[in-house]
Amino acid sequence: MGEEAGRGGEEAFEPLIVAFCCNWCSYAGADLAGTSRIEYPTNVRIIRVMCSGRVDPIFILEAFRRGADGVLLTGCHPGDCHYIDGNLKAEMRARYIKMCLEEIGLEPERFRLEWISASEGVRFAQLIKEFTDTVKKLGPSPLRRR
Amino acid sequence: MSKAEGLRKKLQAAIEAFRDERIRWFIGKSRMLVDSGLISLEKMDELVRYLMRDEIERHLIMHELEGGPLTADELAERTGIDLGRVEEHLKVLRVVGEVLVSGEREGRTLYAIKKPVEELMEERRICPCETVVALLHRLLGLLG
Repeated sequence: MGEEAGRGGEEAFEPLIVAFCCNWCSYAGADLAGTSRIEYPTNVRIIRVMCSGRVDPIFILEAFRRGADGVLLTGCHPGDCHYIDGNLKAEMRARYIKMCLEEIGLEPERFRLEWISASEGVRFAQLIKEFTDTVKKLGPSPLRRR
Repeated sequence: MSKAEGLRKKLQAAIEAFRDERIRWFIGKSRMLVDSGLISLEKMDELVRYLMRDEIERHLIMHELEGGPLTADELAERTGIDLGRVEEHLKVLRVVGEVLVSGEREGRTLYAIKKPVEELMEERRICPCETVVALLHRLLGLLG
């Protein structure tokens, strides 16, 4: 991801969304959405990680620092994690990332944690649509350099 | 300072706070501690929020001091943190030896940072055991 991740003006705001997807479930879900030719907004940039538990809170904050308007963290449903409890660790981290965003004055709604299984291509596309709409309503991130 | 600039500084401070072992330890162990019943989720949230706020504010202060010595009032003005809290943080940072008193300006104490923040963070990451081992190596080297 480049230093200047944000693009676009205020007139036609197209949010830049960074999604961290776990290799075993959510990335496969995103892949299924693609192979099933389900349409979803192109605002999302997917970063594949081996497990949602691999995502350090710093990754999320760094994405915001570099201009992301929204960040998604997706993992396997509880009980399905390939590494047993990586997603549960991610759940706690997500809780505190939201708290941190609140603390510094950035809308916590710009960050979301969701569970997506490998068979949920439709759900993945729906999530991206929903989240893109949410971020569009929030407007560009104040950290996005114009 | 614009809102975006203030937010950018806070975010940078938050990134550094999340690099700090204190917050990492609490967040890493939070689920285990809550599941074991040692602490309730609400208490854990309270604790992490308190720690997070402290660390973010301290990093904001340290970053301002990187630009040169400042008084507590100047720090409060630049960071937007309550003066009482700034003084508390300076007290703690002095105890740990990361901030020093460097003189006076118009009768107010001037505070300076001991080293650049990056170097201080590196020092914080060194485990006390590593310090002991390094010391033993030096002693054995001197004896041998």
